[in-house]
Amino acid sequence: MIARSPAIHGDSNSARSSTIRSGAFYAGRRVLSEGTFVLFGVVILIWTLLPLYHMVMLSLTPLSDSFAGRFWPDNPTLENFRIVLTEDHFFLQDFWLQLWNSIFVAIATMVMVLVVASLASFAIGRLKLRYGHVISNTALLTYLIPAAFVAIPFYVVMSDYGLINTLWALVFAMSTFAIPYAIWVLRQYSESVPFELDEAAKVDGATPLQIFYLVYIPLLRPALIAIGTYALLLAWNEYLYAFLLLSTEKQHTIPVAMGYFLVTDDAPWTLLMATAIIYSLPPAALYYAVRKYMVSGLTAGATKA
Amino acid sequence: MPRLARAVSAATFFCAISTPAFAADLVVWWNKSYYPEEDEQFDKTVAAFEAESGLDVEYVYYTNEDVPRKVLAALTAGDPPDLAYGFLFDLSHTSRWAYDGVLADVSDVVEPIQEHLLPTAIQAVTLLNGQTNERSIYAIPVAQQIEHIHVWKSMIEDAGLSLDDVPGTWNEWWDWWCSTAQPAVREATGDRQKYGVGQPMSSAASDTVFAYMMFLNAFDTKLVDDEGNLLVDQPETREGMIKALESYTKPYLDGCVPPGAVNWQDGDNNVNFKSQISFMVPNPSLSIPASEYAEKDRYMNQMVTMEWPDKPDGSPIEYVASIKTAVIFEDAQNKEAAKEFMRFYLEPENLGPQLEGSLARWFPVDQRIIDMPFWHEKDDPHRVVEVQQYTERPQTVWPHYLNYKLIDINAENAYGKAVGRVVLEDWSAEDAVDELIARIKQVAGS
Amino acid sequence: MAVTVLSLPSRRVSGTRWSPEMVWGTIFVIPYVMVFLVLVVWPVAYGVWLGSSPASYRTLFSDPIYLETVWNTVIFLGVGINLKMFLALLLSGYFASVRPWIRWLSVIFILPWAVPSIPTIFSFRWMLNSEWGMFNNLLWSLFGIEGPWWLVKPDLAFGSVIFVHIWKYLPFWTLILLAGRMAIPTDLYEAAKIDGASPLQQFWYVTWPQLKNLYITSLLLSTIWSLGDFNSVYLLTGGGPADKTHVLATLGIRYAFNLQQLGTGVATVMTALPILVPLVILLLRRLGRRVET
Repeated sequence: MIARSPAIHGDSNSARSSTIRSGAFYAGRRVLSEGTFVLFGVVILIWTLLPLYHMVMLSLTPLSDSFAGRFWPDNPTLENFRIVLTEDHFFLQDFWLQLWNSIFVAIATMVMVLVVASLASFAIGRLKLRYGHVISNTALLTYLIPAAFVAIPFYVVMSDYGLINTLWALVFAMSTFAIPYAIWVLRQYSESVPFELDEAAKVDGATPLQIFYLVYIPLLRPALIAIGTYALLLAWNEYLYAFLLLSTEKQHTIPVAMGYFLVTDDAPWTLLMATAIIYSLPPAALYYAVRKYMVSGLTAGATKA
Repeated sequence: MPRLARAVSAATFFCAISTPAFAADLVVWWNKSYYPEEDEQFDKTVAAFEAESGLDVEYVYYTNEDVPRKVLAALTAGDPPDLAYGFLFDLSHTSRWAYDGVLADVSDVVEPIQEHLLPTAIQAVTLLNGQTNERSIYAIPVAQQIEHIHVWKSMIEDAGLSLDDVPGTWNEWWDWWCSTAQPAVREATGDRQKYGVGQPMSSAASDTVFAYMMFLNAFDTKLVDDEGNLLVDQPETREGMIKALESYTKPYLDGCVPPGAVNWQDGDNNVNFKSQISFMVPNPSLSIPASEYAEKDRYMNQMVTMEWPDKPDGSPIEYVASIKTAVIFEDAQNKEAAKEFMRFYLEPENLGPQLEGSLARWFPVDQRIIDMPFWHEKDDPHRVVEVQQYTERPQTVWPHYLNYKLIDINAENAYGKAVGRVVLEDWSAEDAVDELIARIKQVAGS
Repeated sequence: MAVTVLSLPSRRVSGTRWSPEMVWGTIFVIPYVMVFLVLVVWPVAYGVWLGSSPASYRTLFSDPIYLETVWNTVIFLGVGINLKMFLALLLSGYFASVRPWIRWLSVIFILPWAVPSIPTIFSFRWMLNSEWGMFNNLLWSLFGIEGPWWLVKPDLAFGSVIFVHIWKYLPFWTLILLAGRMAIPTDLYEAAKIDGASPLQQFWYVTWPQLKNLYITSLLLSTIWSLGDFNSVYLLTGGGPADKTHVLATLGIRYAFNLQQLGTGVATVMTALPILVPLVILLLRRLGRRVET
């Protein structure tokens, strides 16, 4: 709400200037609207945090009280975290290995996406490759296919290549879905980098390869950080493909292992939540560290009206 | 550039080292057990076999869902393992595989010990081969599971009731848990979230199918005859199915089953019982007591296993046995080695300890193993009842052993869907059963 | 490896077919082309082949849950996505306002999207449980009312699925629209204020025209992605109760991996093409316009 001073707007709103309202009226309205504003903020806070709070609360609940459904556990304990970190439970025997699998897949995906996408977008955008626009359009098309739709043939194809139950299958799957988006974002972002720099470097005798890693990469750093983080988070958070492509416990990533908690006799949900919290911290922390880049990088293409 | 080349060669390298190499004398895909002791037993058995036979056995454990999935992928690729064992095979695959002709005839493994095997086990593995149009033995029975009832005796007694009060015949029995026990327990505990009947109502749990099969037996209803011909067109069959469905859904409609039961997956009925939200639960194995084995007080005193009630006409109910099967594939490289291994494995001194490691969750099909002392420990309340159920009560096999096409009905859990129609959508049992029968005919032919 | 090959062409006289740029360009684009051919074209082609058997479609259409699944998908897209984008629009306006604490709130607000799906959706699943869920327990202990059976009644269960989906993805789209709002020059607002425009008029005459393209593009993109939203259904209800909360994405997976019918699974997904293809074409045109600037 904008408080309008009758003095300034009186001329254009001659019909209203006849009703003179006291300053207190406007102050009251301000408080009310400010109050509503804050209330709205509180609602958003509760909406956002309640399920996350529930996760934390469950992870601090002792195993025997899993089903109590309290708002705050009667006997909060860090025992669940201890069990997870020391692999002290039948389902958590391979926790550290599975965590490593998740890390490996995430980083390998990030590397693959960065390498392939930056090379391709450089070739299309800066080297003005013939038929480059065909490639970038098909990339865009791939970006639009929902991943869950190609899961079935992808699984069969990976099976034919003999890659089922290997982490690389998951890396390839995740890269396939992240690279098109990466190419698109990098192309959008690189349009803000003047082409004169490339020309200048070429005049100085630089080969395209040198232009790539001396000019292009450094200038695209913010977008690369955004894309790298996006690929990393995509791979880290993935469930469906991980579940389909990885079968033995030693190959599981953490999300798959967590999914198996559900189909058991015990349902140690408190342990599941403790695992989940440990698992959720890296991506949340990473996101917060680079969020500046995330917003500008990811919206680079989208906001150009 | 070099970075990419390194990445590609690393990828190829990892691919190469992560695909399994089939160079051994025998390749076995085995179902991972629920307890580490069982898996350890199997490790020992394989080692002993290798020592005795001089063969090199390559074996890997897969989870319940993965064994069939991997086998199917391997069959499609034309490269199956030699031997595979899955807890879910008999429920979803064995009789179909036999019909499709992908299983090797294993009469020479089973017939020598046939005199020791329970008749239901033989019936379960004598399957129709669609290629030859003849029945023969195409699977090897290893263990079995059956429906039990578990009750928190402690909760009943705290409510001032006694298990001796439970009526014997079907309708009164189910009703007692609902109208007598539940209010008493709720009052005694002061907790409104206590339910007398922990019946699985979900189409996502195989528990529902197990239980419904028992209800069909209670009303003397058979879906197929002994030759595998469908009987669903007959009015008596339809009547029986309707009565079974009505009886099945009555407790839920009366508010005596946890509402979330329509969402239960396998294991959730266990979870609800163990957390004492339901205090009576049907379950198709002794997994619940077995999981509490370490808690001596709960195992011995608070929890009991009971038999199912008698049929409405007062006669004892037939239990539906689910026979766990191991299979050897026709296209496998080392069938003889696989048969040798199974002969070794089935010997009581090998299989016996394995089943003991399962804490009686799996029951033997071989009388020689049943006669071993473990199964006759009089002071184990659960095992005593279980042995009685298996040895002294009449048994039937699953209809889909006789007609493999009914496997698809199990797989999509059409029975659970019928239950859902009644409790979630207020359909009458007649309409739900008519839909079920139509689906059975559609999928399994007339 | 490839460097030695390239030293030759750059020494040739002009008029040659392969300039250094073209050679390098081609080399640079090869990794992506390989990825595209091996990991996109081949699986998609294979998928089309898997889904080409009419028997699969017969099986699919004869399944009683197919029509319900289609209806669920339509509701999910029609109601769920539009509600989400509308809320995103509102919230982007909220977060655009100048308050010292707004930035902190927006930082917290992004958490649902940043935290992985499995734990958060499982948290919902546990929280909404009819027997021991925290939510109904709170309702009982604070207000003495029996909470609804969130995940048991099929309509409520599907509503919960939509709720969870919105909870997870609303922050992302709010951010996108917020960035769009931030890009609007403030002097436009100043001019409007001087002309005496009310906040609603400011929105209609200043904000909306600038934001419209972004909004529609986001809406289309979100619809396409949500067609493939597997997690929200699978992790919350598993498709239940009694397979009543399935959407096309989860139904396809169920056929392929639970019922071992790969062809029918692919067929399920294929039946989504009539919705998917027009959306993709629309979106390609919109996005393609930008690429060519």
